[in-house]
Amino acid sequence: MKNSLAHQILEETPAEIHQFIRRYGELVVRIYDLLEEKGWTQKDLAEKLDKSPSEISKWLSGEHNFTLRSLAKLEIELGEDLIQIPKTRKFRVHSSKVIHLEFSRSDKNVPINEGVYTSWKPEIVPESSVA
Amino acid sequence: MNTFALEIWDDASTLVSFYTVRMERSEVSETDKFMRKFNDDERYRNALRELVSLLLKTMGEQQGAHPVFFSRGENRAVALPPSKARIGEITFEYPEFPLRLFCYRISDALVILFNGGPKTAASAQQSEDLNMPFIQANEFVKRIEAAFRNEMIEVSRDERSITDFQGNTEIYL
Repeated sequence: MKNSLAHQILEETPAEIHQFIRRYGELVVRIYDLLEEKGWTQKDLAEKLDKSPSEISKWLSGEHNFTLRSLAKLEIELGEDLIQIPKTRKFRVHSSKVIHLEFSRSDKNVPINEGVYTSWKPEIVPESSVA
Repeated sequence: MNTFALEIWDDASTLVSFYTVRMERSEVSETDKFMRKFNDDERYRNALRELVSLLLKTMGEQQGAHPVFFSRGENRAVALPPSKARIGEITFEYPEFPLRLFCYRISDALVILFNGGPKTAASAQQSEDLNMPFIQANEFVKRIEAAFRNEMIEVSRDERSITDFQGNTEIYL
């Protein structure tokens, strides 16, 4: 049974809010699960990061607006990546015109000549710029 | 406290069933009262959207009712056998989130939602806007817990629904 009011609110919600909440959820769950895995308390993490336990509590309850720097520090202390950015690879095809093709691989572990390419974007480079 | 219905609020998500409570003489559940009130208030509409996205998409479809999303309330409920149910609130303060929705997390797949309000103080008891909804939520939980303890109601094996001891889904407490 769907709650009609809640689903109406969902439909009216801008996509970037859904994306933000999704990322927030992934991040706090990942941090929480890593702490559980390592058997660390918030106090342990606080000591390693030279923060107060209440500050760590705020981090985990979402009161902290993470910066890239604070995320990087957390990743080092936890010994695991918290965020992953999809990788792209560029290569140049020489012809009368130079064409840059940028591919996004859906699976970074698959070699480039076997992977499934999910998107491509052609860009024609003027001949004068070719070395 | 008068009789209330314990009923499904939304169980269409893949991972979580959300229940709510509705006073017997009311046509609107406590959670829908919360939703309507803050959806109609421009100051809180975006915060409500974030909360609903957290409930139905993040919990409902991606993470389940993971403990990290719930903070323990000031009055901790006694643990229900065999699960460790806790009254609390949806923890979402990213950053300075202005709303509190009280709830009772039974498991990763089952949550009971109540009412709530704007957060105007550090704790519900200190906040004029939250004190009554918080007291009310605690009263609901006491009645629900007693019903579980007396085996008048039970959680299904898949932890996705609550029924009375005869298997009926219509529950009044």
